[in-house]
Amino acid sequence: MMRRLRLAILVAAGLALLAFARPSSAQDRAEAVEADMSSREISIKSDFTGAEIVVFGSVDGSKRTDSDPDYYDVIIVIRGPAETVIARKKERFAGIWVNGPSEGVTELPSFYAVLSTRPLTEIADMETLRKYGVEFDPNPASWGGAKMAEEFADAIVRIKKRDGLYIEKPDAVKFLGRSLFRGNITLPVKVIEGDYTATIYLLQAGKLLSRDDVTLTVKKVGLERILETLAFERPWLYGFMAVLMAVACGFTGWMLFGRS
Amino acid sequence: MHIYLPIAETTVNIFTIFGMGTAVGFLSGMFGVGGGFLITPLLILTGIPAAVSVATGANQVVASSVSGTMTQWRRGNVDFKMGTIMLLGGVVGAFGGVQAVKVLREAGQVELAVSLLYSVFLSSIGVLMLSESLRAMHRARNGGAPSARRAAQHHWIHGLPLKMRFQRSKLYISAIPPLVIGAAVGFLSGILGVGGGFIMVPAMIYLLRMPTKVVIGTSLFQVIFVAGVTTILHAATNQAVDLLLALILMVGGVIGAQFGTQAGLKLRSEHLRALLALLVLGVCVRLMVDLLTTPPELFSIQNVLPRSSL
Repeated sequence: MMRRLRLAILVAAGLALLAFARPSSAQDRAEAVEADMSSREISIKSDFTGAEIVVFGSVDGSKRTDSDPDYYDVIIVIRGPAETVIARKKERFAGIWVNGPSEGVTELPSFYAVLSTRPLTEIADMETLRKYGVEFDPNPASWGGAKMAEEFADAIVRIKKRDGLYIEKPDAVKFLGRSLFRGNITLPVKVIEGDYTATIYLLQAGKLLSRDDVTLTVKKVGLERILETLAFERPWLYGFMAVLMAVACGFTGWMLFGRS
Repeated sequence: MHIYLPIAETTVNIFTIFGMGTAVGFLSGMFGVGGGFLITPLLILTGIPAAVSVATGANQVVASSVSGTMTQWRRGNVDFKMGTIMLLGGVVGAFGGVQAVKVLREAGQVELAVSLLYSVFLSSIGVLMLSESLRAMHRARNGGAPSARRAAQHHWIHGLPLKMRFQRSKLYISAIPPLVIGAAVGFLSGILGVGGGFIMVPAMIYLLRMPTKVVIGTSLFQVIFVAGVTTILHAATNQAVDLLLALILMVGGVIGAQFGTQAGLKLRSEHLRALLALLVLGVCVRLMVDLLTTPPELFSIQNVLPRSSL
């Protein structure tokens, strides 16, 4: 498993290198963006309270000058693994609030963050951004492919934002000189395990110049990993263990405090 | 100090959870209830998912019941014969309850069912216990004999077959009522994720007419098994037991329970019952407020895909 993962990372790195190499060998002066993250792997351990990641990169062949600091725009879109979600609406029934209508959506990004140098509307018009594949508006209706009532779509986005899982930071990406830029983002404690993709777009005057992708893996390790694996793969054993632990705990407590 | 819970998938403050465990342990030691009916709502309030709160609550109840039972057993307050008959019914009932949860979950109404059931049971038991204990206190103050009424009353229960002698409880009654009570409480345990002591204790006092002294130990004894079975079934069907969360609660609970048992000895039984009744009513009011007031967020979202195992 680990070996296959390592191999996959190597292959991905190799492909990424090839992708970087192409524009520079093609002798045109077009700028290219190259990016990476402060960490490619986030481990969920027992002291996990969320994680801060820095996405940084540089513009190869930058034409940015100090007199025109807003020459380039950078948009970073980070998407978490897809999940299937059911949204439910509470309704009053005989004076009591009960779960009423519900709607489901598949292929919903569990995490979605858009970081940019300026508000997106100032960088380019929405049509252009959409054409380049920059999804700036967390819209479950379009992600799931299915039609979803607006109030449910809004509710999903609202709840995800409340939990820090959908983030919009229009001024989070900063240039540090001619070509270097960075942006930081906090992964909240509620992130789920899986692969997170960061896509970095370089734009100039509303036109896409270059893009780069970086993958980040979030996974549980150590005790958290062992317990989760056991709970899901050996649920009966896990249940018996839980009861055994409880009996031992209760008995020890009585031995220590209760016998007097 | 914060700790990440692998099954609940959230971070909690270790001291908050430990404190909750201790407080509930104290009360459970004092009143002879497992404390599941308190721990589950408290966990939900802390932000733990409902399913995990229910299943982990049941697990914690096992620990507090074990140490409580040991203490009561040493004092000779456990009627093992009565407890065994009750737990036989209870285990069967728990299976039924967990199945009911499955059906309710598919209909998306498990939270509502849990809240409604809690409200109905807690309010009726709370009122029943409170009025009875107030009457008892009144009688005690006026110097009346509280046993007079009990002896005079003749139950339809005494007409049932399969009569057995329960020496510790000083009863000679049919095995059917304890079996049925055990099954009914087991069913509720499965749905509510509680040991069921808060229903069991009054049922033993008012329906079986067991002496209060024996009721607590016997209830705790049978709760060990019912909560144990509930825990295993929840782990197997819902993967919702969080061992780390349970461990923190248990350590707190076991410590609290010892002090609670000591405190319980210093109180008169009718005062004990009145206090338990007030506690039960308090939890009930809290639940009803949630059901009746407009929630700040009308929508809720639930991730339905099984988790990826990397």
